[in-house]
Amino acid sequence: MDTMKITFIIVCAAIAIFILLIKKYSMDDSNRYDERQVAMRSKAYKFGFGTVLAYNVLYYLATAIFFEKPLMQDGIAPMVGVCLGLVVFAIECIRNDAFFSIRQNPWVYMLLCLIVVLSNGYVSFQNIRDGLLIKDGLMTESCLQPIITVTFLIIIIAIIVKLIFSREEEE
Amino acid sequence: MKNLRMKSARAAKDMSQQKLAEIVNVSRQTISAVEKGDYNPTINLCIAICKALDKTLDELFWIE
Repeated sequence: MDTMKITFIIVCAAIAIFILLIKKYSMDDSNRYDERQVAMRSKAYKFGFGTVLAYNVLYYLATAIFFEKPLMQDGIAPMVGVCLGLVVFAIECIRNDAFFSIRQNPWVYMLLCLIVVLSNGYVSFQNIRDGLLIKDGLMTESCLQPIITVTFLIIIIAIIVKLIFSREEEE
Repeated sequence: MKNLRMKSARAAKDMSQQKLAEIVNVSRQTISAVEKGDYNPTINLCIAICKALDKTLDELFWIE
């Protein structure tokens, strides 16, 4: 069996374990969302999904009509769409106080986001310094780290802004 | 429409939004949204709030 097949099997196994962990975690009562949060999250999911669809249509129309060539290497364009959808979903959830479950500690989540931002930010800095972002006029896979950094940075900023405003409006 | 009856019933029991939220097992923001009239709660949540505030559904949620 070659390396690619082994990698594929490992990735599938990792995804299966991840799904099982999420399922176990979501069944725990302390990680429950209340009825208003569930309604708001489903609305936010709709917006996020719509954003991904709109992005895909616009990207492929733009590349076909205006640029007549792809702007990014294979596999990068869908990832940009996923990040865009994630940002829209997260901001809509945060705006409606539906991002964190009832007893979830936002600071723990923010710490995890900060680790993602710092680790990807460091690699982004190296990629920018080495000029790896664009090759032959196409955005390369090295663009993913800056995109992920910006995505999680936006989420962190949105959470902080919301926490400040919630404290002000409390009672 | 703001639910001032719920707000005053909660204040009469000297209960914060956070405390009521913990009793009925929802977030504080959900209690705030119900009081502001931004969210229409389900009958289950209405009943839980009524029990926590020792009021009837009519007293808190019936609109004349």
